Amino acid sequence: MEGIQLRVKNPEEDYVRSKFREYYERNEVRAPEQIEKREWGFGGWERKIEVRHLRISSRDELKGRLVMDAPLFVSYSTAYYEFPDMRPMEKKNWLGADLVFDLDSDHLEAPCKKTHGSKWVCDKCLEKVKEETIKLIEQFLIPDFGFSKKEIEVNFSGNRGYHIHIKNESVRQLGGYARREIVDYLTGTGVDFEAVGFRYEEVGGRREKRLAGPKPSDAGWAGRIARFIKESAVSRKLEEVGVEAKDARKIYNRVGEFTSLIERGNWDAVKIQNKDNFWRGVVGRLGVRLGDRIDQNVTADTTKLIRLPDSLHGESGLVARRVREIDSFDPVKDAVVFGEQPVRIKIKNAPEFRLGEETFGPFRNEERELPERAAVFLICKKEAVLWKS
Amino acid sequence: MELAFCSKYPFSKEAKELVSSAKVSDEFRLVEMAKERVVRAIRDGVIPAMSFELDESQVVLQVASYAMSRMIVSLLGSRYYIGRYSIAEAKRAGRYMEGDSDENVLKVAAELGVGCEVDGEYAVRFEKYLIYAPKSVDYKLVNRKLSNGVVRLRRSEFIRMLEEAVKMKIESELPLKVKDVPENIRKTTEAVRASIPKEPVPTNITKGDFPPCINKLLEDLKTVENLGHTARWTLAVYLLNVGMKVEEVVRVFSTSPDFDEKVTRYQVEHAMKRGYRMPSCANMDSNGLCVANCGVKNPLAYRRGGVGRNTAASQKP
Repeated sequence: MEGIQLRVKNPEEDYVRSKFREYYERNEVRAPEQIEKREWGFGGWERKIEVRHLRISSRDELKGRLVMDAPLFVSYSTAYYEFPDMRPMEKKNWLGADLVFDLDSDHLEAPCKKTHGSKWVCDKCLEKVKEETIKLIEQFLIPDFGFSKKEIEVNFSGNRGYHIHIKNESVRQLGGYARREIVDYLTGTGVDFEAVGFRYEEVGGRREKRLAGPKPSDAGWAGRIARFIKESAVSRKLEEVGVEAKDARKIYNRVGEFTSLIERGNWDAVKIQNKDNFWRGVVGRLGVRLGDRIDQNVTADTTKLIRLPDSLHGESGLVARRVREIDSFDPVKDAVVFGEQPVRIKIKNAPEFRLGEETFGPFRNEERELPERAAVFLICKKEAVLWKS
Repeated sequence: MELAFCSKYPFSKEAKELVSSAKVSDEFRLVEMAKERVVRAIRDGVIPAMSFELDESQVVLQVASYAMSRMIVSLLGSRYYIGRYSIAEAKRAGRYMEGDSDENVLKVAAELGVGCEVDGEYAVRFEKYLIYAPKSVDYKLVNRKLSNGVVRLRRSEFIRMLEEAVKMKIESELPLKVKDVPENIRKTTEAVRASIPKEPVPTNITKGDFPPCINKLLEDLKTVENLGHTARWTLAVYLLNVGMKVEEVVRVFSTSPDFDEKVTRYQVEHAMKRGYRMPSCANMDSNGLCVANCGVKNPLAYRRGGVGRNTAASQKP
């Protein structure tokens, strides 16, 4: 018969959807600005985006759809379109797009990833991605780009990282090239030795030339590099950025003199033997680690869909919670929405994980009764099935 | 109303007001001037400078010739010609700005929607900077003094940026919808067409075998977007490395609106002689030219049937 699809019944998907539905019935989800100009995408058990090119015209309609469909992933376009449901993309008529950044702990290559893989996150990776988010905001978005705290909205992604939305109309019209330039700025991609002010100057009577460079008071990357070297000299960490040990020692012995030279843009004491190494060491440390080009595309590609804040994430059962105070935000506590009711599940494999104050696992091929929040979490990770005896 | 200002910057509101209120006395001269303006712009890439001891009627004629030029360029009916014409007009305005007062330069800037504060340096909002700055290493945002949302520029850099803004303004306004074209203008347009080089026909290269980054560059060339130096260099080196002849590579570039055959040929020959190696994918990535995750280490490997070619399509729907 037409219209009826034979679908393999998946009790786990049904269970998670029913839990998500309950959540959406009881909780409000903020609608993005100009909801009617956004493209929407919903995801299910197999894929994060199963349908897209959807248009939703109001907050009520959004709520209705969330309750009715109980999607496992809810995404909307950072772009505004005249006709968000038209296809192909060109017909939508792009009107502008929000500026968004995606920081994912998976790309920080924390040492703990080796022990738990990319499916799981631990406190260490969550701490690292939080540090990176704070760096992005406090060392780049506020001082360099001049955004105010009010314009920077931080959301937990619902799984392993954070999404940063810039609420400022001035950035909406930026095209792909301009956004890529912003990404390159944040990651330090393409910082040019000469362009930030390094040059070898002739000094009368000497055969060697003198290295002049940026000052700590300079704006942008020039000043960032100078400040970093000055601080590294004070905290005796110059070797880490590729300064030869014996040169570093000389600098430490006369650190006061050294810092005052740097303040005047005189870099001659820093004998940069291997320029490329030095450069990688310095720029690599200072830039924000925004992942590979594909992740950076969340920022640069003006037609991307991004997780809806306040929506549930189908790989964790956690909510993409808005973060008010990032320092004190604890994603695996503050983004937990499901409760204590015991659920019996069969667990395949899971390392130790924490939800709220409580730690669970590790589990391996065992049957357990766990609180709903842990059961939903493991089922979403596809490491557990419902256990009916 | 400052007459010299109108003549230097005929795209300004002030200039438009001038032509709409004044009457052109010498219609024949006007048509000749417009014809000359378009031909020189498209053929040579330069609109010759005029002397400034002009009386009002001559200024009106000057500005009116800009208006008529736009009509002629529109009638030529090609994005390629529009591109070349806009670049020449922008360069002309840039030359005048270099010698002009700050007051006038800022007036032009404001008209183009670029706010600026001057305190020895020229401070521009980064959003505007990103839209109008030339696409080259020196102008990359990462190498600029960015603080508090503002990029600080030297005067010459600021003017270079405004040139781009002029070009984009003129380009975006064309073609005009011209109805009921007078006979003399139609004839002039055909005379112009006879005096300018033919629009280059894009060489037919089969796209199928190129990696996504190279296809993107080829597309950008065609869609009349001005590619940055690194992008052009990369494309040329790639095409030479896959065995194209210098002549063929030059032809590929000829579709670019700011195409200068002499310069291009020189550069392609230079690249050929130096035997430049194709940058690795990692370098492509840092230059912002990588657009997909194809699983090869060098764009050249893609063509040789390197690993994971199919993933490119699946990763970038």
